[in-house]
Amino acid sequence: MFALVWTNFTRKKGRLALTLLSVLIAFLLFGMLMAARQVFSPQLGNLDKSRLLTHNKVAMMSPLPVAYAQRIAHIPGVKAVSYITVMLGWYQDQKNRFAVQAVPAASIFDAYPELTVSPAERKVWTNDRDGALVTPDLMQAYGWKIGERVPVMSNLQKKDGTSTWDVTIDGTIVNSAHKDAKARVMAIHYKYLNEGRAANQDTVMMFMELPDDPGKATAVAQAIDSTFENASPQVSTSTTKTMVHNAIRQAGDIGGIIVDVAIAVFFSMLLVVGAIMFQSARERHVEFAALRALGFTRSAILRMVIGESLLTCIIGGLLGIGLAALLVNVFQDKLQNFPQSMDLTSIAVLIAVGLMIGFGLLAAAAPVSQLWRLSIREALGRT
Amino acid sequence: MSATEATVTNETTTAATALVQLKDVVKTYQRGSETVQVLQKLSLDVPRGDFLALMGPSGSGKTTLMNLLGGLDKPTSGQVIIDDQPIHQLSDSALAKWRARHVGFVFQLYHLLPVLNAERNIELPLLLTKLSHSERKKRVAAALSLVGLQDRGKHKPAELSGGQEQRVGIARAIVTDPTILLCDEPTGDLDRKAGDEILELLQVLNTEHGKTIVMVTHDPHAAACAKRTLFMNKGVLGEEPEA
Repeated sequence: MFALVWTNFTRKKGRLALTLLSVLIAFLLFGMLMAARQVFSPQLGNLDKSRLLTHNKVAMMSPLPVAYAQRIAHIPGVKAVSYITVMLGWYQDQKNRFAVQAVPAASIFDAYPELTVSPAERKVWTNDRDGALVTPDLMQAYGWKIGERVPVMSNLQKKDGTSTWDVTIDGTIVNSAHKDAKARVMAIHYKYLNEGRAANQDTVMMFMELPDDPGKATAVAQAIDSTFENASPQVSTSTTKTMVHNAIRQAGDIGGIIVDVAIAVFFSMLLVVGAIMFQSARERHVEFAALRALGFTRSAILRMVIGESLLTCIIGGLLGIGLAALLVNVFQDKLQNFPQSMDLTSIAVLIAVGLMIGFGLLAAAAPVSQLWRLSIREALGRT
Repeated sequence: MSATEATVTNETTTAATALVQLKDVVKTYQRGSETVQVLQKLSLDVPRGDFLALMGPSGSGKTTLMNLLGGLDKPTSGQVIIDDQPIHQLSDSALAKWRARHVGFVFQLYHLLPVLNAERNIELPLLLTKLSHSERKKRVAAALSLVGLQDRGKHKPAELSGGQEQRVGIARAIVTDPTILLCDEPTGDLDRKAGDEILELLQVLNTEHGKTIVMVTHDPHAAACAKRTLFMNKGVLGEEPEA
């Protein structure tokens, strides 16, 4: 019986190709959107709720005086403070981009105890003015070796008019709180960057504070902001989680938009596939009536039609999700610096399979309803 | 014979041994607000091994009678008993299963599935049985051989002539070895030569293979190939055409 369903399924190759293509595109979009939702949705459970980040109150990316670090360090409740300035770097080709984080060797490991570097490599790096620590992913991406001299091109101009920062790879750095995260990051000395850059000397992009008591993070944040209330520039302090959450919300509720787009896409797909299935079944009323005359029960005929609809949605859907998985891998490389990785999760795939089955059944509803009422003698002209 | 109560029996067969028994069958249809009585208390016995031709003008009720015999429709009242089975009492689903086992339909327009080749068209009714694939293939080959199309099994309907398509239709009708063959204008869409070949084939099936055949036709030449002919007029059966 499956052979009969398959033969009918493939009877009009052109129409089948176009139908499968529409389902494929719908599930390709679904897969990509679900993967993108991982990046944009505020599911930030793995981000730190206690570590504080202090940035310019007026504009998040505007610089702050590095001297603020001393004042923050003296605020009660602050256990450790460090700072960071980030520039975009690339190796050999602009496509090979990664984040270059300039941090002070003296305090970064106090503010981020989860950063893991071997003691020997840390010692080398601490004493190496233009040394760099890189994540294993970045090391592997360009085949760098410890001790190798690497020219890092950047968007930050130097005093000498160039924008190439020569660094020595001193070791690897791993964030033990996010071991599985794929990140291409290079850490260099703040001092090296600050002395070399053409503008914005003695400023940083952000301060990071570790409170004595994680439960009092909010109070410490308020204390930091109060300290600089009358300063210029003023600052705004929040937990890592809140800051990332707000940054994402500023870009709009992308997660919500994604869901809306997905619903619209699927609704369109359902209409297209449903219309095609309806037309396909209507063209074969006489054949179905003949089959019923031969002894095929009504339910056998309906199962055939439902089977064709399911095949359309499942084959097209699996092709679409498979293609989405391939593309997600491609795009993943371009989203190294997002806090969440772009990933087509197994749950998303399961949801997709459920939708394939659901839409297959729904798309068959109209032809099934029509065939249920089919009169053999009327369809065969036997009146 | 009464105009409202027609009983036609074969002289050599009693009702007790008849394969097909119709008793006081009435069939009415609703057309808008009008009720049309198509069959009027019709009774008919068809003995096993008979080849009966049903003739009559369009709208006389021939096809309605065939629909009742084939379990495609149910009488408004009366009984339709085939091989001792009162099929008028069966549900739609049970009727479908009954048709699969007991009835072979031969249609005027063949109604072959265009996407399937001759073999697979013939195999269709066998898909409803529990026969194995190899057993089905054997039966299909035998049916193809019986209708003289051994070398056309892989051809699709569009690659066959009308006569060959009807032969495939007949092979599909007999492949399950049904109790009765119901042929609705089997030569109506064919030229004389191809029509004669089909009629000859039906005669062979009747005389050599013992198939009971009921055939609706407008063509006296086709009816002449049957063992007997009945005439239908305004829902009443008779042995002579209406003057």
